[in-house]
Amino acid sequence: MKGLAVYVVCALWLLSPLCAPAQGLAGDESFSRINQDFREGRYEQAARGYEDLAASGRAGGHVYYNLGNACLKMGRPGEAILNYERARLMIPRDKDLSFNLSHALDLKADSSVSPAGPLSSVFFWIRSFALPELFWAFALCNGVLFAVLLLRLFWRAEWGYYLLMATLFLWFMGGLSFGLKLYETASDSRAVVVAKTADALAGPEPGDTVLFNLTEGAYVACERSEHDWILVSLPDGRRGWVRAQDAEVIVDRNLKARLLPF
Amino acid sequence: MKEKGSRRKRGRMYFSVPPFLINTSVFFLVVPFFVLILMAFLPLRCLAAPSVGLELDRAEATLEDTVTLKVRVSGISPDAEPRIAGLKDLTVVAGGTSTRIEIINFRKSEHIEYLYYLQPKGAGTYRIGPAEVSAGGRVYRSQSAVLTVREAAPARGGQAVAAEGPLFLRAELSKGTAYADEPVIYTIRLYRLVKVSLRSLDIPDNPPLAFKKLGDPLEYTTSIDGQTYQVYEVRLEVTAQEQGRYKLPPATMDLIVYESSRSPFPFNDPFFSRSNPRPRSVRSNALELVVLPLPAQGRPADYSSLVGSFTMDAKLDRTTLDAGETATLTVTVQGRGNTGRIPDLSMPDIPGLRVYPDQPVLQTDLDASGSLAVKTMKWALVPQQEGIFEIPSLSLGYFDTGSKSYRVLNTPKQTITVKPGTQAQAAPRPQAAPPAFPRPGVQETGRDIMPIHTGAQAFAKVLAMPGAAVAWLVLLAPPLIFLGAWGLKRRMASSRRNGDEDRTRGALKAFRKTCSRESGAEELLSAVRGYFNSRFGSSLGALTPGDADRMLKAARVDDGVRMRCVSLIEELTHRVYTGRGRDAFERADELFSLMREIDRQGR
Repeated sequence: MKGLAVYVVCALWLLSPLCAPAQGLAGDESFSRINQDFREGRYEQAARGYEDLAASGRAGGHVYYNLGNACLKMGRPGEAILNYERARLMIPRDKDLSFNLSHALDLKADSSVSPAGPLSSVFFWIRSFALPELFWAFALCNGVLFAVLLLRLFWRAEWGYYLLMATLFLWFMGGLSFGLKLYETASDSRAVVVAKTADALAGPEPGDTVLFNLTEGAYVACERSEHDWILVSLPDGRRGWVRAQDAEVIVDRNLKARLLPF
Repeated sequence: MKEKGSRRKRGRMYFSVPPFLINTSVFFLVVPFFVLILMAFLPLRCLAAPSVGLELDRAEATLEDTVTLKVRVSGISPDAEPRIAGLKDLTVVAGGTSTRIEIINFRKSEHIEYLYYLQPKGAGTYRIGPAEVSAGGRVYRSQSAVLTVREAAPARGGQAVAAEGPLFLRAELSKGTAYADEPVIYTIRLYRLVKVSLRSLDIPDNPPLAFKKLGDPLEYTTSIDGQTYQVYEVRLEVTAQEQGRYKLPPATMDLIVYESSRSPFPFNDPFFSRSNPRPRSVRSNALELVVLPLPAQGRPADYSSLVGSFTMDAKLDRTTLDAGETATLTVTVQGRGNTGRIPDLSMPDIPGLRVYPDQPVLQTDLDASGSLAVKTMKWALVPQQEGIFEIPSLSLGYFDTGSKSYRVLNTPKQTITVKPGTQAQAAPRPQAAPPAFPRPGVQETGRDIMPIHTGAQAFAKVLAMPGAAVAWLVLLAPPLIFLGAWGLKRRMASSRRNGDEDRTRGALKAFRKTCSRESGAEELLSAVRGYFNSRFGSSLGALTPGDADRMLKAARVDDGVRMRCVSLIEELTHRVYTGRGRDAFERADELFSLMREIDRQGR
């Protein structure tokens, strides 16, 4: 009996992360208040509220989506795109999100599009799944595979062999997808220009030569940062230093800590 | 017969494995992946439509041959076995049923193949089929097939084929004399009693003659001089455009012959037999084809170089219509011969009718009897005014090889009655008319974004990423549990083995404890039984000499020791059952030393 209680507690502990954000936010009164601010047109206040929720580490993709909406209502498409892209990491198949992101991209002056890496192009399906979804799918495949192996340890039926082959294939595909998504998220260096215009300089000093200009909503790749400056590059190979406040990295430190467990 | 794909170049046929298949690692990794992807995305319409097909493995046979009949049922689950017409004069043996089930998008599709072996009872022509299958209250029918049965093995110059050893090649022409442009069937048959692998087939390369392969090669069995040969048959269509006497040199087939060597194992089990591959070439007999010129006498004016046997049919889809409507005339020319020469017929001008010809369609099937072609020509007829219009007869002249004379095929004259329509002057409508009203797409009237997500509904499906410790635990727990179970199983097996070994090792010690050299036969026999039970893992209540012999044989104990042991046990048993079981046994020393020897050898 004592053993059973220990198993139940362990199982609940393992499953608790699945439901934690839902319980945390559904019961959060502040979330309703912020939504009310948005509905009544107090976008500045609503945006601050959503940002606080996001910073608290409890926010899911829908909070970033709402924050993007608030930014768009305030006429800040750059920030809206940034937050929609962050939301897409968590709720990639949300149709409202795709629609609003597409609308925000239409509003920006720059014609750049979110660069898709070679991994995303080949393994196209991983774009449709969030990292946690792929993790739990792989965990399930992993559990089933070793359960089948365990079964075959004691009972070797012919159908068990075919089941093992099918499970092994699913395990391989699940592991590959999860690994690639993990790598893609960890190495995601995309940033979005949030200022109306941003000068890209030859060095991280205000007096350096302006190499080119970026407009709000432009996608760039962040190579490294020094003090208040970040070195960005464009798909055509051009590189330059912009102020850190003018462009924000999509997967920032806060998001990395939440999304990447390893 | 090992045939892997084929290609033909300058009269030579090569059989080789496509190079991409050679890289098996790529094949076995990539193919299952794409198959699974395809299976996931295949639409429902790809499922097999309900159909019944009937197929004979060949169209011609002799009385000694067995013909294979296959009835394929797809997309339905039959209520009972197919009913096949035309089998009355044949001996039919059922060869079994094979079923293939496909599940696509969670929808089941079933393909069933019924196999029958047919043995003709007499020479003649048999029409086999159609096969009828009932399923769900509906009856589905297949097409029919024709089987021509001859008395003897295929004739060659009027003589039957004679056996020429275990492997030989024969060639024959369907007729030795033909007219110019008349296709003749050239058949090459490989008769074999041994296992072979086909490498290439060289067919005679005679430039004035044109060769065309007919269908896939056939494989069947036939009987010659009481011996059953496996036959590999290739058929080609030969056509000569000019008259003359043409020699067809022998065809050559390169093979690998697998000669089986004597098996070192008993019972001549084929599993253990070995075969030595040896390259070999076989040549067929040479043939001669006499090509006659087409007669000048009786040649029709519209003769179109067509030679063979043809029929022509014409069909008008409607004979009464309103002005502005369209009627379609369909003319079909069907037959065997030089079907590529079937001309495109032209429709003469008809006053008051506009004629729009469609692109003619030629469908050719190459079977064992040659080219069977159907050419379909269509005309859209659009009347320009009311009245009665006559569609003139269309004619086609050809040389009929059956009657050896020219013939002219004519379509019947037909009439179209046009009533006054709503439009006085109808416009031709050979193609779909454009829609009457423009249909605009959805117009965009404004742009905005979708609303915010609120409440529990927005978070109902969120799956969160666990912390590092939980993630590692979730991923590593299953393999660790498995490894633990595997180790436990190994340990249990090992301890069981050790227990057996301990018990075996202690058998001799126990034997010595339970008896001595002074013990009687009864006591000694009981001790020997105990020793055998412990040493060889048996649980005998009484030990007979036969039991001991069997166990010692299984333990591979030396024959001399075994025989001595059996003799001792026989003597002990004899003493026990003759009332001298308690008396001292004189050969006790020998028994003890024998037990030691058995224990040593049996390890």
